[in-house]
Amino acid sequence: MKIGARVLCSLLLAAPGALAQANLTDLSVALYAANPEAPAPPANWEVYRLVREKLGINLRFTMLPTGADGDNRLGALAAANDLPDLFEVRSLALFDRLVQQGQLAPVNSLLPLMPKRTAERYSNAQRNNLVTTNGQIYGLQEPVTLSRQYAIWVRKDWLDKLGLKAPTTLEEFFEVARAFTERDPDGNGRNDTFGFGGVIDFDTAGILPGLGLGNHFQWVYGAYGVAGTWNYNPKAFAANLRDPNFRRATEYIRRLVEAKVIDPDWATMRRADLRTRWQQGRYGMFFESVGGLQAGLQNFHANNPGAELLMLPPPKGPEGKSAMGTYSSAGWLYAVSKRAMDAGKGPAIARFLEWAHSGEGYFLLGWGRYKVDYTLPNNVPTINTQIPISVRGSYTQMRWLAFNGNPLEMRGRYPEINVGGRKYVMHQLMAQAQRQGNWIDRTGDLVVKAAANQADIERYVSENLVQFALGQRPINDANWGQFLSGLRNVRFEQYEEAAAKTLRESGYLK
Amino acid sequence: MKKRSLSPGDRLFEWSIDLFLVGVLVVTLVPLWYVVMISLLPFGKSPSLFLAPWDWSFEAYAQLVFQPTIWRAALNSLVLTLGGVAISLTLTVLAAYPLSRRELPGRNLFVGLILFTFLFNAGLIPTFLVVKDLGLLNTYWSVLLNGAVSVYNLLVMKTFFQSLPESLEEAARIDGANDWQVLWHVVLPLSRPILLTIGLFYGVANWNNFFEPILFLSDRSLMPLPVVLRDILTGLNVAEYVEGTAAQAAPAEALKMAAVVLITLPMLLVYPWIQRYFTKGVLIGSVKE
Amino acid sequence: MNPATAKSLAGHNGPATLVRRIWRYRLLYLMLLPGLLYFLIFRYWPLWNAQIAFKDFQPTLGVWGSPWVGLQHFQDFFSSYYFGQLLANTLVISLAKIALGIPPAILLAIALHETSRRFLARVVQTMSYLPHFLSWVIVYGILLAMLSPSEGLVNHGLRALGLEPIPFLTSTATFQPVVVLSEVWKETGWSAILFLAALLSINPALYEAAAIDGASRWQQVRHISLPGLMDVLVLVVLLKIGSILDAGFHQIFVLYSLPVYSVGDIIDTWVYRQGIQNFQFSLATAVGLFKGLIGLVLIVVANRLARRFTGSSLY
Repeated sequence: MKIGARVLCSLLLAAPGALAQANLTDLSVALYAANPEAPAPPANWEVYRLVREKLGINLRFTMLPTGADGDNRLGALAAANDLPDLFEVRSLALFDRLVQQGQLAPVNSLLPLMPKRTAERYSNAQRNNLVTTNGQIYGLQEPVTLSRQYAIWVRKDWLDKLGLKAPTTLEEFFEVARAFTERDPDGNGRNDTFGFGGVIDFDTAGILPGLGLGNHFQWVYGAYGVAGTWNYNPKAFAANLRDPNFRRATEYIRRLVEAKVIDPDWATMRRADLRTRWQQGRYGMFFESVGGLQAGLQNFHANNPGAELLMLPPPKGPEGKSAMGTYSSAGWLYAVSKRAMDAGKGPAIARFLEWAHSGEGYFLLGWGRYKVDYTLPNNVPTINTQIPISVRGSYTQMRWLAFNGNPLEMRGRYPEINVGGRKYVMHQLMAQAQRQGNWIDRTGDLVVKAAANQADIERYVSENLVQFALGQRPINDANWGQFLSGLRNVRFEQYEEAAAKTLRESGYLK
Repeated sequence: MKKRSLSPGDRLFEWSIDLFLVGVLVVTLVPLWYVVMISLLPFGKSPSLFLAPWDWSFEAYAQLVFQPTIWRAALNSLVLTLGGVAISLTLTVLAAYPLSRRELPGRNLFVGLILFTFLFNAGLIPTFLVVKDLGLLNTYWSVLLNGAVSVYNLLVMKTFFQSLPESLEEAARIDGANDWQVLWHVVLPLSRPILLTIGLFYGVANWNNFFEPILFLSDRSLMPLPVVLRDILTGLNVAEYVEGTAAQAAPAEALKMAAVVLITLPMLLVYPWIQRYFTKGVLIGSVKE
Repeated sequence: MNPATAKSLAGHNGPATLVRRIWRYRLLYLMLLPGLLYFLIFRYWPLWNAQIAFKDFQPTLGVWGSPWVGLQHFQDFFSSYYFGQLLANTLVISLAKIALGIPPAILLAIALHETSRRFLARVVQTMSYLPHFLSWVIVYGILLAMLSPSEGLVNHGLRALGLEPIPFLTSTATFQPVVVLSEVWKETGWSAILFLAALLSINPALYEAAAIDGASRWQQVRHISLPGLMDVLVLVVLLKIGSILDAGFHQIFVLYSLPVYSVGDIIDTWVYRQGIQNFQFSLATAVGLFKGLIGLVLIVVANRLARRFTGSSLY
């Protein structure tokens, strides 16, 4: 009898385990590689084990290559109707298509299953509206944790050398730029410096480039009160380019180009070239993100001993307005494939996301191995930089799923560093860039659907503005009028009207 | 070996040829030299053609070579390249020879059908759908089979086979050889330059290929060298997301160029090795035309 | 004429004879089979999928089940405000690349073949084909370093001569030449390989006979080398004409910028911005088919001309 009871006991004890094994959900998660230079997590990653034991999920994680390659791959998987269960979408165009094609599942049912995460991330009605169609929410729209981190930086050591003050208005900016170009501030006897370095760049990372010359020049348009694509005027909605101030801002840029205070390669250079050049000490003022600055500081200080950088608030225009540009409060976007939802994987997905949101999951995904990849002095996650990123990085490839932007996290992500004899408190610089920039919230831009001939519209506007800026066409009434009336050729009015309608219906024009 | 002639016209000929070759060398070499110089750039120096040897920094190479992923990727590339060349050469030769025989019934039809696919390329998504339906996604076969035959290489080889003197094949056939034996014992030995050339073409295409691997392979451990190098370099470009975790040992440009040099280095070694077989006079002793 | 051919031509028509002919050449057909299978599976099956060019492709419905939209995507392409310019730029750049790209390659092949300094030949051969391996991103960096108006070597030289610096990469007058010439620089060594292989297959006895007859080296090149290249040359030119609407996407995508869109924007870069970036795969496929159609027409015409003037042709 005793033996029988013991056997029965062990069977009963084993049963839940066996049941749990049988209830294992296969979950395929695809995210863009957070650390492209590091390999995928190893097969014996602790997370895989924990997730299996605690959440009953058999996690299969694949990394999408960054940028267009990843978009292509996701697009190809979508076309083959073979989407992963939970995946990241970086292109709103793709997101819209997936919704249209019925390949995404509504996530409304998931939200109550991950209460803490939903309360902190998915409770903002405006953000949820961005991914809502016909009353159903189709995406997990994260709030933005990395945005508005761009600024104009100025060489304080050059200002001091030439006895100048940091410029606060457009006119002062022009004068300082001219001084930097003509008065040999680096003292090497050659005229090889420029007042301003910027390029034509539309690669969004936390800010919106708008229709025109891109991110690096939005501050000029902001100084004239016409930053961004649309004027968001409920009574007289129109694109900003119709505003006379838009022309004045463009004329200012033309002045910069004509006076040769801006690097003449600005119209063809890429961001990588801009970085190389400011690191070499070519520019007195340049446009750069806080992250980009951090990556280049070592090279910069090696090339320019004694240099000092200052963050410049956006210069004010003639009417006292200023803004670095526009931004949206939408961060990363995750979606669930319809197939996964139909297969009943919803609850598993919610469990996983909730686990990643805080506590053990948050630290494992966001920071890696405790006491190996990071430590927690004073509760501030501090990365162990002794381990190279190519090793460390494979343990934090899913960190964006975990990060939530809380202050301790930001201090860990943007620590204090010392380079070239100067101290840079990166998280303070981050906060400063966000605060000082006077950024204008234009989340509504994301709601406006792309026109059928969007590429042609963008080319028309940008190409014309570049021609004006380069002086290939003088900016006078006739030419500017031609530019505006030519908008008809790319059916711009229809695009404008559709935008007005969408924005009004979504409540952005009040 | 060419007979050296002493006539003034011929001497001028030789000198112009050699001058031209030196010119080509200079025009090619200067930019390549620039690439190497930038790969040796240390922190604190500007990119330039003239970097003093004592300033050279091999940090960029070190950082790349000691990446754990690089050696696995190099191995993957080797497998893909050698496997690809083997498969492609075999298929191409087997297809080119019959098509080079004018008496083959339906020959023009086949050539037309093949040429048609050269002009009408279905594109990314239609091809992806096929690979997926075949169940080849995330395997090497997807990359190897997808690019197995290049129409260009096929037609080039066919043209070469056509230009071989028919009398040789005639002689073999009179001796009782069948088509297979003619191909193997007569045609192929005479086609060494073209076989090596087409093999080189396929090899290079496979070695540098990154687009198909990115599209068809999802497992990072299967990725070949160009993809891994691309990833490393993208890491440099997305500094917005870097957030103080990537301290580099070398400037970004140096890393970019070092990656280029590393992936091009094998090419420097391959061609001279093949050149040994590029001998003139493969038809010595055969029938005069 | 080949006696085998004469025999087969003299045969009677009829299914029995056809079967007999196929049987006679069975080994050749067998050899051809793997290649044909490849084309069937990896070229024709995707072409079947390419019908999405005429459809509104819905992945959940599959290729066959998606609804027809006829020529809608083609219309979207033709009605672009920039269509004419795209077509013109593509054709001009392509033709210039063919016309200016092939002669240097032939010249280099001949030079490598004719020189008696073997060491020089091997060094030049190896060095000259290396640029082919540089990606256009790298070449762009080199071009920027050389042609930049502020710090490029070329403009340094111009300034030293007292001339105004020229913005090569952003001026509409110079962009297309930069595109064509940089491609020539990058590809000549590589293209020469094929012509060199062709030259090596020419019977050296021909050269010896000509030398004995008193021909100079120049004459030997003109009358033996060049005709020996003719078949390969015709092939290469015809194939390039067939892909004339591919003007080199990767290169232009890396090199072009807004100031030169009017001369640099080609069909493929437009498709990239409009189709790929917006995930409109049907549009991209449609344009691909359009390019194929134009290429087909041109190749048929060019082939006829080639046969008339040179005697060799593609088919």
